[in-house]
Amino acid sequence: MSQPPHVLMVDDNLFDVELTREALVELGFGGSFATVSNGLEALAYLRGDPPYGDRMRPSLVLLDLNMPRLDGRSTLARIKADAALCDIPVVILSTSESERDVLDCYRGHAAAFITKPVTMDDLIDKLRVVCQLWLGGVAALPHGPEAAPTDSGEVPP
Amino acid sequence: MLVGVAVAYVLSAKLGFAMAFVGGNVSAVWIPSGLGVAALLVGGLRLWPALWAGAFLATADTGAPLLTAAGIASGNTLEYIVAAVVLRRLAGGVPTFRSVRQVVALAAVAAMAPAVSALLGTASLCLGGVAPWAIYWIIVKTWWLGDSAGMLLVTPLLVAWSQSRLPLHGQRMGELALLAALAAAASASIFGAQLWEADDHVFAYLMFPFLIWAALRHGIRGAATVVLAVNIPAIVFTAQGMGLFARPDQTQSLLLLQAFMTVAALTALVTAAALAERDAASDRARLLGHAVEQSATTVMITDPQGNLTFVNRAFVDLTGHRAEDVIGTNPRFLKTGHTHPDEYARLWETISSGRTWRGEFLNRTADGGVIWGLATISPVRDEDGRITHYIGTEEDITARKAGEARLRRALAKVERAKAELERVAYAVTHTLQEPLRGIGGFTQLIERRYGAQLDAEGRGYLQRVVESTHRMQRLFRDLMDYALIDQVQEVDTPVDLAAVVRAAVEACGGAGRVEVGPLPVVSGNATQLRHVMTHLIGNGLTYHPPGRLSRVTVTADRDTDMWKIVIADDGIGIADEYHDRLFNLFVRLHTEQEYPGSGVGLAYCRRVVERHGGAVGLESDPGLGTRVILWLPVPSTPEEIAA
Repeated sequence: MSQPPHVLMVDDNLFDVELTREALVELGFGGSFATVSNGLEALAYLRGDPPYGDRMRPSLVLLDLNMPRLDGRSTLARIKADAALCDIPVVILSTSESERDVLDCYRGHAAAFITKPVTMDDLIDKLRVVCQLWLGGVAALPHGPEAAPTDSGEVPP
Repeated sequence: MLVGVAVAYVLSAKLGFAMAFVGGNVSAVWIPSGLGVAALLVGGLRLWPALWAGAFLATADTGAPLLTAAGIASGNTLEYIVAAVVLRRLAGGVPTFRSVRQVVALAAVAAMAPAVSALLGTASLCLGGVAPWAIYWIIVKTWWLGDSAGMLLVTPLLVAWSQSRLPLHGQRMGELALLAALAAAASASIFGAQLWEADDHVFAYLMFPFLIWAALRHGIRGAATVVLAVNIPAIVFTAQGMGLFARPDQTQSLLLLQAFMTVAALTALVTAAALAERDAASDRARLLGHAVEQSATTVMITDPQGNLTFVNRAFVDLTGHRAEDVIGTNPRFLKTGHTHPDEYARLWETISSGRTWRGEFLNRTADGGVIWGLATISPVRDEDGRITHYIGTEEDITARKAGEARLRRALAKVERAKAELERVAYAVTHTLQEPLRGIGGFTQLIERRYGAQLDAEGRGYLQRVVESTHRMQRLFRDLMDYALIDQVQEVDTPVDLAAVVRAAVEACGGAGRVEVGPLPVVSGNATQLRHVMTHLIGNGLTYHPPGRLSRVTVTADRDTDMWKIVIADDGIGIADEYHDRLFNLFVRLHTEQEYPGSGVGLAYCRRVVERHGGAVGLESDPGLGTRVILWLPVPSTPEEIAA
């Protein structure tokens, strides 16, 4: 991994974007972070269409499911159907907990499905795993393995 | 009763001998045979010993050897039994002789049954030396004919008069007595006086008006009575060698008499029976007519062209059309245009080909309103198979239709409300979680970035915000699961409870503290059942007394067609008064600080289990533990279990 990693977050909720960015900061993420707010913008970004002509090719996409204009499910399908983009891992980061959404996304070749946690600690734990798996361990994460994830996010009632 | 019958038999036998032809003991009518058959028909077969005794005494009284008397008595009794059994069988009970069929049956039985006693009785006479074998067949013939006439004349008389369900009142009785007296007098004058040439049979016809009048006016009792009134003088005088049938040859005379008696009896009896049948049919028709008239169902009858010939009162009441206005017209005045012309075409095709059509009509009433009818229309055919009428009945289903429409609207409303509830639940859990994440996330960010600048109290406040956030999220999640229970479609796939419980134990982090017995495969939804098990096992693990961890056991028992799944713990238990309420939404017995929870879990469990066709129960001893019992239906087909 010669280049620093580049993460594209696709989400229309600005708080979630900000929290995710801060969580990566807390993790000591050394790469770059870009955001767009719906599926159409995401596809334009990934393909380098204007106004994203000088964008970096993302090494990971964090994708929300419920968004205006083009939702996450369709965006995932289009990314995976595009020969130039299908190798980019897509991690779903959504409010949804429904089994159907989870299974649909895995069938659509999502790399992972994460239900958005409500606290920063949980979010950091989950993003740590994502970074370890798909961003090659990413730039010496400050927290060691002692802070391993504790919550699967799938607790039934 | 037995003695009475025996005495009557002996007396009638005496009478028979008295009416015997001069110079021999040949009776033209052997009255005891009619009496015997009537006794067995009306009084039952159990009376046979009386008949035997009567026959024995009457025969022995004539000086015949006792063995001969016994033989004759046996033959006679057997004859009566055969005749009675056959007549009862054909009539399906005690015959009334009020149908032509029963009269014809009587004639047939009277012709055949005497064979028994004639053959046996004559043989007894000859064996006893009372009569020579040379005249065996002559005796058989006269015996046979006498018994036949006795049955034909006497049996219907006695049976008819013993059936008192239609008593004749005094005036009618007097009229019949007068008629019988006149008929007897006429008969006596014809048969008793030597006024005419012996072969002038035409005078015998004079008896028939009496017979037919009796049948028409007084029914079977009158007919049977006048038959006897006509025949007794004929028998008595002919036996004395007098009257129309007097012949030098006694046998010929007897034959003529018996032919007359048979024709007279059958004429009167068949006439009376035919009339009784017609009366019964017209009674039934009147009854049915009355039923149709007062039926709450609309009845319409049309001719083959479809024009109305009859409408009942319900039709008039319901449609408001008067019968006199609509008879002769085509019922199309009821049409509202609701039924498609193609359907009318199908209707006509159906009923004109002889089948029954059923369907619903929207009918127009006289005052311009409409009523719904559930109609049945079918053809009526005559004996040659030609359609003579169509009968249409219609049940008023207007109220039912309105009820159905109301129900449909109500159901649609419920469906809309349910969909709305589901949308709200979704919105609550998804939309409200966004700000919640903002609260939780940024609070912890403050804690992380600026925690060092706050004192312990300040950090404690932040911690409480985070805890509240967690609690809120859990409430949202449980509520959402609860609200969306019915949205999950599959509840009939095979679910291995053992696997479900394994997953639940793992989710509760209860490894080592949960003991699981053998569990069955049930039919249902695996996710929902896993949530139920996770919740119940989690409860068992959670509600333990301070300082001691609880243990949970999960076991299953077959209780006829239900599985009884018991989740038991040795925790703090639940006081009785809370058992009923506990399965309601948001009911909690402890503060969040004592034991965390949302108050949704047990309500969720109950709804899921009930949706699976099961039930939930609770047993608990405070301080000792709690047993939650789930009843789940045993899957019905072997495939479900195998799969």
